[in-house]
Amino acid sequence: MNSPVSGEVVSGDRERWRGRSRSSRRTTPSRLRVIAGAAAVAVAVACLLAIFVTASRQSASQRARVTTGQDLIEAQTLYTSLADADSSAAGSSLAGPAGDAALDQRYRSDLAQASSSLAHLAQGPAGSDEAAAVEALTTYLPVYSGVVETARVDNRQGELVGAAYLGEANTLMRDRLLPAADLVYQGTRVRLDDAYATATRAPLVILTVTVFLVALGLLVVLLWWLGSRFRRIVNVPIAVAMVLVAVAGAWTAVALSVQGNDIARARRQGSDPISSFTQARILGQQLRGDDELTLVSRDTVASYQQDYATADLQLRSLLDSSRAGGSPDAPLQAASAVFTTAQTLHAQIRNDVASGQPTQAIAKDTGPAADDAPAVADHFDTILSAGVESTRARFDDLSAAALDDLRWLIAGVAVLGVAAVTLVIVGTRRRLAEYR
Amino acid sequence: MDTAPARTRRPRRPWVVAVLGAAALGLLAGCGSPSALSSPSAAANPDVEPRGVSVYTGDTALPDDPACVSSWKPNGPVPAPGDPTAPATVHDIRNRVGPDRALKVGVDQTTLNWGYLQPGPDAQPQGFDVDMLVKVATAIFGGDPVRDGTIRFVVVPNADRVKAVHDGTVDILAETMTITCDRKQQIAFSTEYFTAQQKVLVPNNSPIRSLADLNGRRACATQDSTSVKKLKELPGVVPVQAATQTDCLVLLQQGQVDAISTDDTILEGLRQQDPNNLRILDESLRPEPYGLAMKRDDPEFVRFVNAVLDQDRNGGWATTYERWLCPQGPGTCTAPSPPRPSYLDG
Repeated sequence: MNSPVSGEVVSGDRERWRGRSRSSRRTTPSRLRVIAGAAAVAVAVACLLAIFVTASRQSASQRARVTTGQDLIEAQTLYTSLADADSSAAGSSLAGPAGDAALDQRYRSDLAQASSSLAHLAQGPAGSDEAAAVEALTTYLPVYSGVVETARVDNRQGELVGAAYLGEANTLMRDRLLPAADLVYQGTRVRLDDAYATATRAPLVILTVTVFLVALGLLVVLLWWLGSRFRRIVNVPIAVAMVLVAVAGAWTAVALSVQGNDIARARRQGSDPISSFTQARILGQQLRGDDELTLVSRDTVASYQQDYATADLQLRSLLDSSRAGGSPDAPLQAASAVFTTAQTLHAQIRNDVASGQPTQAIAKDTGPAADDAPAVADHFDTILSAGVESTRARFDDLSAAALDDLRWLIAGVAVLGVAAVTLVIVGTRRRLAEYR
Repeated sequence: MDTAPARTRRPRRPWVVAVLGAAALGLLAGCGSPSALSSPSAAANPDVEPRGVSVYTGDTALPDDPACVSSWKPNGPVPAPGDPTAPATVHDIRNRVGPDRALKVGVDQTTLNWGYLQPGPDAQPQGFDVDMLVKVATAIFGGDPVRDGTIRFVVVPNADRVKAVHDGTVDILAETMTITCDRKQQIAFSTEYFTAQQKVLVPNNSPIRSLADLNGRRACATQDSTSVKKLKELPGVVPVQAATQTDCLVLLQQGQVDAISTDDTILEGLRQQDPNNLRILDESLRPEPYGLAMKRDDPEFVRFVNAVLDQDRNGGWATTYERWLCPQGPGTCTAPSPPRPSYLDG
């Protein structure tokens, strides 16, 4: 130490200090105080750290649980309902001037679902991208449904301009509503990632365990020192304190690492699959919408098929990447098989149009048979939404287990810590009393 | 996203916050599509418009040489179906086998009265242009080509018309297509079978009563069409282009443009979709001679088709006109006389 005080002590009073330390037994109580005090402080710090880490991990796990269970589900419901509403509106228009009652019903319930999700979604801080996106959604959703109704009226009268209004509604959906819904969804993902990072962050745990080891080391030193100095075999209170600290440290280390594993598993087998199923559903609906709108616009708008090609590639790579992955992706593999059927169907429909059979193409795209496009698209979507539901249940179990891992830890460490510090004081005081 | 400055800079004065906030909102609202017409603030004025609307900034129309309307003269009356003196292409088409034994015709499906597919299942394209093509198919195969399946309709978007004819996707195409010198560099045209006029469609309550009133107004036409180029020539007119004609109608009904200008034939189809609120001005910007489009390297087939058209001018044409083009409905008017053919060789 270079502090001026200790410098003076060393330079000026070195001899006196030496003499004192060599000659007197009075150094023993002060040394005892220092070592015991350090040990007690280390125990307290270790326990407080453990409590802090546990509390922060607990709240982060809870946040991950709520964000996944509510916000992520709500955000994906919002997005998929909007995409499905658009595709239902297009499908109904393809069915002819009278529309299709079932698809109209589906369109209405999709809109209702989207509005309800919008109302339940966390708003995000004012001025954030998420808040602006929610505002854009609430502004444009009624405008969108107004344009769709205009299209419906024109369509009922067999007016071609209905298709143009539908195209306009679709443009609004794709350029404004869906990107805003995506922003909300991505915002939720960011918050989720953040919660997972906090729930599994390692450095503080390592520090905590280190401080526990230091405390344990100091207690060992104290025990050995007392033993050699006072010729007692064991100072019982301090030995017990040592055991308590060892238990608290081991419990903390084990519980936090098990919890870290569990939460990582909840993410791997819960949140991540839910995200990729959702992504696949979104892409599937987009593909369906592209094909419908191509037919509704009577192939006069080339951009729909360009969009199709892009989404087709994305979906294919998403489904391919799942094949390389593990078991929780079973729904993706099932969906992959259906997607192959859908691709074949798409090729047939395009081929019909190219060879001058638009009627046949429309029949395939709107028909009621199990191998027509609506049934195939529904099958694809049902597999994935069922996947989301079952994964959600599994996620609930896993994240509950992760929270369970930390149950009683805070209370336990607090009790053990207080007991250990008390025992150190008691054990030390007895020895100090011998000097009075 | 450009909303970051509003958050991170923490300006001290409230009005700065307000301005930045409004700017951020505007950017967010506009970030989806580069909107040509809608206002910047979403919350204040949530305007929507069809995809691909922009202000046309390209060239004006080139003056067209009237001589380009001339086509190859027929070799005589139309040969009967199966007549060996018919041109080789006609035989080739007749000799196609299986489901391909048909005349492949390019049609539009979005132009009411000309080439139109009623939405819904079991639909067949119909209209003036479709009837002209059926007449050609009848001359080749006899009978009723639609019933017999000897005519195959291929929907060709307007933008792909020249390409579809040039690369042989279709044998012949009729889609309200104006004969121009420019297009004749790549494909051949029959004689003129209809003379359309580029006119202007406005709402009934519009103050626009003549072409001169268009000064300072927005007028819509199809993207890169001859119509939009012609609009660019008019003084003070803002030429707005949309992907399809019906997109122009959407813009007009939403009050985002003041007028639509294209062939009167197409305008009439648009007017009929909103008959109580729209009218077509009488003034014409220029004539638009329509021709059937075919491959450039097959003059004998063009002569054959011209013979069919020539025969049609004696009565058939008027029937078709009265079926599709009477403003009050089929058969409620008397057809004018058909356009006179102009031939290259005499």
